Amino acid sequence: MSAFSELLSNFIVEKNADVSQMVRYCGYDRSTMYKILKGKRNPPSLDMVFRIGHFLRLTQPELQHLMESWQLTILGPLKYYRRKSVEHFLRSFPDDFASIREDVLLRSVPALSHGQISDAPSCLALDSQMEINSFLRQIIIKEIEHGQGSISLLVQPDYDYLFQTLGSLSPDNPLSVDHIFCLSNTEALTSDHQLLHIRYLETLFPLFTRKNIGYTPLYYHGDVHTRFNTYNLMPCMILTTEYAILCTSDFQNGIFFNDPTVRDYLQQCFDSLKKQCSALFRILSADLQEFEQILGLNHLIKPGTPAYIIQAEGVLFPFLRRETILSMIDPSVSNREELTEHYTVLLERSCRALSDPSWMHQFFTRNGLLFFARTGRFRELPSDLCRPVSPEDRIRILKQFKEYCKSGVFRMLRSPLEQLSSNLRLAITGKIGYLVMHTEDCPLIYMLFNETFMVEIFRDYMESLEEFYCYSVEETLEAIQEMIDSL
Amino acid sequence: MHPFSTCLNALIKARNVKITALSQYLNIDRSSFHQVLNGKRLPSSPDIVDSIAAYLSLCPEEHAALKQAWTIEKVTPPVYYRRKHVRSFLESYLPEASFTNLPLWNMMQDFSGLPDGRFPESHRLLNGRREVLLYLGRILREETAHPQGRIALRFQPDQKPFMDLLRVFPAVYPFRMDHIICLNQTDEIDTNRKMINLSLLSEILPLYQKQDITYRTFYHYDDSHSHFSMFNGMPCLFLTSSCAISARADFQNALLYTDKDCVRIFWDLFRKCRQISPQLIHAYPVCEINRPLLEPMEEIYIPVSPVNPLHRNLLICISEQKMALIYNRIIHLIQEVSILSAFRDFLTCEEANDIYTSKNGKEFLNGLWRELCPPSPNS
Repeated sequence: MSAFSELLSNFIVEKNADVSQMVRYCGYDRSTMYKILKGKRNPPSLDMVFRIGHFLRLTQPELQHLMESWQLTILGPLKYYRRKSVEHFLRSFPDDFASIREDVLLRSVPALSHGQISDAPSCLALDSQMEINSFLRQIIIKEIEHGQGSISLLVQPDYDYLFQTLGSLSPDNPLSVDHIFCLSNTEALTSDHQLLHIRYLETLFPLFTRKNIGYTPLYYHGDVHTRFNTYNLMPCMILTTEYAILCTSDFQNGIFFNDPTVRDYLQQCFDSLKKQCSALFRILSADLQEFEQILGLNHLIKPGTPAYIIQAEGVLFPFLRRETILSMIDPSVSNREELTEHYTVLLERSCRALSDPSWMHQFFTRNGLLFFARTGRFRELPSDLCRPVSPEDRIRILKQFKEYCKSGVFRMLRSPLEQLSSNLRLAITGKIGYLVMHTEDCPLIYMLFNETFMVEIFRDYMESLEEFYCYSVEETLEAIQEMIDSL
Repeated sequence: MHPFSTCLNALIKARNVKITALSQYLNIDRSSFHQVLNGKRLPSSPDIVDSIAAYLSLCPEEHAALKQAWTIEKVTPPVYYRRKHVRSFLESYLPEASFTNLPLWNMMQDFSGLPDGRFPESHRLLNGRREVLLYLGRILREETAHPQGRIALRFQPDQKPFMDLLRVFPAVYPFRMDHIICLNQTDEIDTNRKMINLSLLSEILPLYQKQDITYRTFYHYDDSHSHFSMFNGMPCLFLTSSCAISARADFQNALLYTDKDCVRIFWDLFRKCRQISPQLIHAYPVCEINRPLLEPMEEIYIPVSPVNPLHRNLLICISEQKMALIYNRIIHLIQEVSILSAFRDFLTCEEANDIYTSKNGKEFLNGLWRELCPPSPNS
């Protein structure tokens, strides 16, 4: 019995369906259908699943459920949950990080028996997660007041209180956060079927986006369960310039230190561990200084290797003309010539990529493209430097874009990714992957995945998009024509 | 990879022998013999190895080496070395020998090496293995200077100086000691070609001989390299009722805690681990009441040449489910699967016959019981 056959059998019983009639309706022979019901065979196509669903007169949610269990059975639980995790990550990617959460620090934590760190002795037992949280909060606040604060973490990204707190900070002074954690070397799933890698990514992502926080996650491969369980006593460590907290992997017990000798020693241990780890991302900011490096990224996209790009507003840049660039950049901008030069070079490079687009797969959303159609702005270019493109130019660009949609290079995403955040731009090719997004600090940052498994899971997901998650070519062309007509 | 063919090829080359001639002598066709030489096949019986030795005019040492190479490949290296390890364990079993570490004993008598006589108020960072060892000795001595002492340990018994310390430190009163160790999930052999779990057993068995300790060992399976790694902070633990030492895996540094709340937290963590870990050895004294414990284990192995008195011999009672090692008035009952399999595998194979036999096992056991538990004059 597979997940699919079990669900199907349940539906048949529930709806009191006549299996022989279903067999004739679906055009299958009896033995095949019975094999499917017993779970010895899976129905070969989604069309057949829909046909069965229509015969049983399933409601939309029931049909959805059936389709998901079919996917689960066909792909196997590992692949299925892996893709679902990535989908969850993409769907919940926020538009705007600045307003993501109210400052968790300001939320009051009830007063506890141990009270203030200023009164605390040099070594203090912490008996509950609340006490540990209270002390964490205090040492973080103190560290921010410091000026050039620095926090070192040797903790798995499953300590929600800690990462929510850090992810909501808006410090006035720069704060550097170094974080060492273990990434599993297999496809570990959490108890609610989320891929551990993605769960960690979702927890850590906000820290990249806060102003004044220099967050450096470093990883080492290993078996997470072996290293973080009851037998490991207190494997977790949080250090600031004055204090240290050691705690168990379930964060229920800990020891707080207000002793410079111990803290310095622990910092030494941490620093030596750093050398054995790799950075999770390589980060480049899209200001002019790092422009060369960003151009260099285009070189990484080798013709011939399939490249997958998700960008809500569509990759429209290559359709610009050189004259348009000149008129786009605001005349009042001081380094106008330099900017023009840079964007022209970028244009040439991206045009080259389009010359043989057979290995490119680009995904966009209707709303993303609509934004361009209506405003003439490119979200990836800073709005204070560039003026909107004229409606005539927009029509021209959209027409060219439509041609590429005809050939299936550009696909329009539908549910569940229809409302994809405009802030998410993801590119994967071969072993390289990077994310581009706006943050509080910087107009645009490029985050290159350093860990190959991450690239792999995103690539696997994007490869699967064309099958189920895109509008058909005709529907896409229709939508674009609508936009053109409205201008 | 292919110890036999490597060895054979070297010998053939050294003796400058024609392969065709050799294969004819052995009555094996050329192509099969070539497969042997390439490591793709192994001669099926040791007699063939003997014939090869005769043809090549090997001296006894060369013959033995070739035979050994054949045996290693025949049973596979892990099994071969595991059997070898069990053999050496049985041949040299003398736990009393581990109690004679004099220099350590002397060091225990005198703590002038420590910076000051007083214990720190709440905690102290210990630097260097020597300091960790000295403080450990101190807390052990203090704990056992009053009755009802209790000690808890979490570290691997192959850490020599620390295990030695536990064996030799002088206790004024009897005390309880619980020890949690990590056993390997596989039967892998270490770089010394020893089976890891058996090595750990060898280290802890002597402590069961000590009269003044109630010693219990608990175990869990895991990859000890990941457990005791530098990324895991301070995974080793020594606990007494008033102090705790939490040490790095290499014992280069440790934190000593005397604050009672911190010590209490460590006891809670230790108890949590102990609760979910099975006991490795259940120890019982040899006496009339405990004789029935051995009934389910019908196979009894005794040394081929036993010594007197009888209780100085290591006896093994074994079945498919459990085993008992009987030595010097103590029955050590073990159910752990890797150790049980290793002993069963060795004792039931031919090569064990020269040191251990099951003949007359029952009589020997009865004799032992008569020696140690003489019937009371009334019965």
